[in-house]
Amino acid sequence: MSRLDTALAAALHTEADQAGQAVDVTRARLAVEARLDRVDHRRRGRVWLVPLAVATAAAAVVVVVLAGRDLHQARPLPPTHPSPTGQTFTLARDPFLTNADMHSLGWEVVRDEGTAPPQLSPCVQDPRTWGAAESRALTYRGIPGHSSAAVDEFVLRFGDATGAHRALLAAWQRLRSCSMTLDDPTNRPAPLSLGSTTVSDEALIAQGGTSRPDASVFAVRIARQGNLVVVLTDTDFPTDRPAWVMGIVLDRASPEYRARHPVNVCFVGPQPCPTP
Amino acid sequence: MSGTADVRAPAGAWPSGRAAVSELFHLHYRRLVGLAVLLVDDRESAEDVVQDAFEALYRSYGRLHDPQAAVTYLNRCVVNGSRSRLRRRGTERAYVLPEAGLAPSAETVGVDHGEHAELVAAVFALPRRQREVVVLRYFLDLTEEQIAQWLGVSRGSVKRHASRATAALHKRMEAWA
Repeated sequence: MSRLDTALAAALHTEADQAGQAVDVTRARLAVEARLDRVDHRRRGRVWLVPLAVATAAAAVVVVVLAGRDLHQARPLPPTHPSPTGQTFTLARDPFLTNADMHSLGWEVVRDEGTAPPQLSPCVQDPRTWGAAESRALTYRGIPGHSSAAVDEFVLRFGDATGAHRALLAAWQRLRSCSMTLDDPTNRPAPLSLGSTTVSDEALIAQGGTSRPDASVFAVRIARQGNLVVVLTDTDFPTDRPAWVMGIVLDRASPEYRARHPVNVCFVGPQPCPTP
Repeated sequence: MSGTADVRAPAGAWPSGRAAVSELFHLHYRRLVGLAVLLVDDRESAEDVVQDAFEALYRSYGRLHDPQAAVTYLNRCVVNGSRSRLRRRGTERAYVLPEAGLAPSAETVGVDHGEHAELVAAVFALPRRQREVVVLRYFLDLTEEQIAQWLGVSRGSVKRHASRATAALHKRMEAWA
């Protein structure tokens, strides 16, 4: 062991010791106990929810049966969300982010053409089952020696904007009701929300840290523009500009979108951003 | 208190969830706060990260099969939580290193407190990944293989980060001397 090794180990232990000794353990214990109480409380809540869920499911079956006569009548969209626009887009021949895009975003991954995207999460069903007229998927793997992150991209073209809107709403409902998306909901940088952005009609962003030993970060980002829905999930790349990232995804997905909303990817690229 | 010397699991039979977490808190809370401080710089964030780790442990306790797994789980939660915290800050903390002339002289660069402080400041000033590798190696005594696994990078990458970090730290030490 070199002198530097010895000195480093000693210095880090001394620093950690001092930080540990400065802790108010009584206050910390109370804080941790309160957290454990909340976990117990939520567990008890879930126990009571089981019979409630069974009763609700039974009631839902009755409602569905009674409403069966009206099955062909379209359900109105939730009034709190924007009506889908009438724009329709086609998919580009290659609708996915390129390796150069990933590099520009600072994401150390490359396309892995031969691999099918894995099961995303118990809370996010495979987007290829969402009922789109055309579904494409691509997996990206970490660049060996730099990252072990995984990114999955899905590009979906629906028959019309209403179908795309419904798919996004369904994903939102699943994420909202599923506690397994992120281990610790309080750890999200922002509440899970569905809203419109400047680059898409609607966007749904869930990203944040997890307490899982296998992944420190998990993100699901879904955006809709007209009849297009794009989904981007990853395990290592939180961003404070998720809507902008989804704008790039939409830009690559459709030539018509690109013509209307060109997006520059230049903030970390080798070339400086052009002045508007 | 040290990174691994005191890494003990609750003695005796594998106790039930709440009792075990309480005992682990008693044994490891201070050490884990120390670990988190080395990764996130400030004690308030460090305590948050450690408390998150204990809450996560309690939630996942039923899936753990032995006491040592619980200690490893806590360590990994703290490392991952600290990394998430730093990423969300968006920028790494910039530490202003002391000028060479103001640093301790070669005679005092032995095992004294001044060197410790300078070395810690130099470690905090390293790029995030290098700093993580240094903390995991010298505080938790992890092997290159384990560090690669914990950080989700290749072993070659760990070697590279460690080598760059030690080169930078050597340079700092030479500047003091």
